[in-house]
Amino acid sequence: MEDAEILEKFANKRTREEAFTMLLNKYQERIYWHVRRYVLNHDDADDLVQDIFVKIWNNLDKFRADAKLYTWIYRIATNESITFLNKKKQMLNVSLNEESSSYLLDTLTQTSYFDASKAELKLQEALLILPDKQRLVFNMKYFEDLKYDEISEILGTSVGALKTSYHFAVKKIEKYFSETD
Amino acid sequence: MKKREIDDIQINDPLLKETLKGNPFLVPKDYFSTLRDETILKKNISTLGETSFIVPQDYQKNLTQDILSKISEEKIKEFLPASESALPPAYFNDLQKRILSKTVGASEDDVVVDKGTKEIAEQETNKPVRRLGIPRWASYAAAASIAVLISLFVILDGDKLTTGQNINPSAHISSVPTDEIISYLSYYSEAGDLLYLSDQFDDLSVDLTEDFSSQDIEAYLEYGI
Repeated sequence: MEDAEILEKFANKRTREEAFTMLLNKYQERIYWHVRRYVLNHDDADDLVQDIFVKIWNNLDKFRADAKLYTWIYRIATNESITFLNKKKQMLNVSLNEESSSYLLDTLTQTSYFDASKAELKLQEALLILPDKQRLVFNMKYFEDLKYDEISEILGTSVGALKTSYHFAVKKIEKYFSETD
Repeated sequence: MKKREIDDIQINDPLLKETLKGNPFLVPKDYFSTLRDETILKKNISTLGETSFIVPQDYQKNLTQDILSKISEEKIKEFLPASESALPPAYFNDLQKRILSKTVGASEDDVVVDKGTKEIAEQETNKPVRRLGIPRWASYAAAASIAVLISLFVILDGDKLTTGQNINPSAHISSVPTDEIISYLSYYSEAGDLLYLSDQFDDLSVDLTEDFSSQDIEAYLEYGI
């Protein structure tokens, strides 16, 4: 279904519920994985995704058609995920500038919804040494296969800065893999 | 770093390349089918909460300040002493009794306590009230005495005035020089009088007593000025 059709149905109060269901069917799973790869824990991701779409329901009538719908949805999801992680750090007295490695790794290993090989676990450890936003860029570029223009629109960062950030993220992960066995 | 290198960034490590293809993250069975329904339910609950409960305008905005103000009030009350204007219990019940005991002079046995103010008022009307001040007849006697004294004084002093001094107006005026009379008249009388008088006298040295009697002059002085 096209985004324009969803927006048109949403604008009509009689078909708003139908439009919202269509929106969920199209974007919910993508947004879930986007959030899950960032916060790692399934239960946290589950709560976040529901809150994100409730927020979309409340604000979709304010959406301006000059941007793409899915970048607008991604932006909400990214901001909510960053806010959630920062709040969690504050609760655990972790510095906001510190990488998420220590306490998120505990989350990763203790959850029952993580079945990884040794290499996969090593990869996640490598990703957690990256700063949160750099990890976000790597996830969006590599796992979600988003274009630099789209990532730029979502994060509000220039394409050049994103390319540099991704480049250094790859180098760090490769270094971690080669240095640890 | 050249632009091409950034755009063509590749992962060289083969193990890393292989690992990145997998997904170690798991979800519960049929999770995504239930996720939609749960999200819709959550959306409905949030919408219901917004419409069912209405609060005054700017309520949330002012709520924090209102709470802090209340807390401050409670803290202040803890430190303030009891109000000096606070009255003892049952103050007004005993108030009338105490007033009556001090003013009317009634004994405690005469004032019925706790049977209403009406009974107390009835008992008060049966009591003779002691009056202060002098009797009425005394005041009349005093006034009459004063009137008699004043009369006596007037009578006695009046005779003295009329008999004690022999006033001879003619002899008194004839001793006053003519020039002085004329200057006196010019100073105190009207201009018309002066002209009239001056016309009557061809010579200032005229003896006024020849044409005008002393009584005439005196009467003129008494009534004309």
